[in-house]
Amino acid sequence: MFEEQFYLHNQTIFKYLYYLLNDEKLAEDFTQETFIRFFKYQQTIKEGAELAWLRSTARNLAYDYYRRKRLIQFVPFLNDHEEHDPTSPYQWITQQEDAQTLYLAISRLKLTYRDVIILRKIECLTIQETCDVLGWNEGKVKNTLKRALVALKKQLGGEFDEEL
Amino acid sequence: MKSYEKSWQHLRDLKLTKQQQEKILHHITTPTIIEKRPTKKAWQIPVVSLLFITILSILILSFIQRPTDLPLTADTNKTIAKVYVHTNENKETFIAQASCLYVPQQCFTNKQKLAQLQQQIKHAPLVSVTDEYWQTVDNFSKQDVLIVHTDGTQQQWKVLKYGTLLNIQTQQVIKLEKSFDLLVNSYDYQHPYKLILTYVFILLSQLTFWIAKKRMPFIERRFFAATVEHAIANAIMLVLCAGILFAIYLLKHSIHATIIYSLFTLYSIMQIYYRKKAGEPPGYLLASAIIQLCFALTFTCMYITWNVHF
Repeated sequence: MFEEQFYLHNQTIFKYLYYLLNDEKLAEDFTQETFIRFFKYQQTIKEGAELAWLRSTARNLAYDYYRRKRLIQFVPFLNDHEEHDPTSPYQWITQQEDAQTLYLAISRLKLTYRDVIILRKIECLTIQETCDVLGWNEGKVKNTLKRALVALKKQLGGEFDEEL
Repeated sequence: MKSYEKSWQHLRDLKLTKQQQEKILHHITTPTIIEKRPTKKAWQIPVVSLLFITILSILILSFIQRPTDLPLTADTNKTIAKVYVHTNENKETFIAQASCLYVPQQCFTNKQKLAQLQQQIKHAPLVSVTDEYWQTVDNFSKQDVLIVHTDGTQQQWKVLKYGTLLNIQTQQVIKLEKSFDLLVNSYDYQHPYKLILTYVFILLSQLTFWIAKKRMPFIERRFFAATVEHAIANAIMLVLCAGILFAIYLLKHSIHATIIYSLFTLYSIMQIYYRKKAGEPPGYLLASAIIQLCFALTFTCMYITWNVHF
């Protein structure tokens, strides 16, 4: 049961954490921590709500990390200096130049903007699903996404055309 | 306009490697034996808190200390070594103290000028002033003058109008040839020279600040410095320091310079400690320390300019 859930959702959680934290090692650790908590509390989680629970836990872990580090506003640190495994996700992202540009632009956005962009544009969640994960109302999700895309466009030097 | 649809898709396809997945799963499912260590944890006190407590204790002890007995000698060759002048509106009290380090208090050490004052006091005619007159007079100079002689003896005077001095120990009243204010005013020409150093330190602090700003981009600085916790901690420390100084001034009418320096040092250390804890780079910490030092030196120069006359 647990292993099944792990193989089903670990990529989603890792991807979400990776884009939120911009650090592969941290994303890996926090994915592990998310599933440790899932393992511990799985009896209390409603059937069918596992992914939502995992996403919320991962998000709380990431926000707690930023709160501890006082990085809630800006996260300019990208671990470019670290050597990466040739098969690592980082290496994979850098394989495509435009994707790398997009990734770096997203990583420079503030946390809430990054969060909503990851969920809506990368995870491709619906507005309602995004509302459930973030605990926001529909209007807030739409407005934040709109502002986030404007900020992303600015980061990309105006070369960006994206529909809501 | 460029379409990033391909790039979004590329980002969407990010995956953990099989090896990473196995490692995570292994860590979760394999119970690890945690060596249980005794939970007894030695009681620890942070260095900054310890420093804060130490300085506060020194401050409290400085209140408790009693004044030492004044020496009494009849040395006829004694000369005036130092003169301390403290503004005091209360006729009943005498608050000038024998140290150049009390703020706000004027301290005169120029031997030539003090010799002139001694001659004036020596040749000053006695004037009779009744107790009733002293009690009723409102328009007096409001200055306490403490004269310390070379043999350690002290004379406490209150300045009445027009260079008339009342010795509060012997109740003797003398009238000086020249007004006592002339002694104070005779040092005015020195102020511009002494103030130059003050301006130098102000400029140095601004220069350091400018260099630090120039070297560190705005966003990065804001990211480090403008946290709410930092602002709150800073405000609490400032209010605490100002409160302690104000309380001491209310109680003792003057504040010893070491108390001001101690509190400022404590404030600076906590400021730098907090910045370090927030993760600011060493260059910015150094700039912050230099600025704090410049402020302390500026205060010292201003204090020497206006209060210590040598």
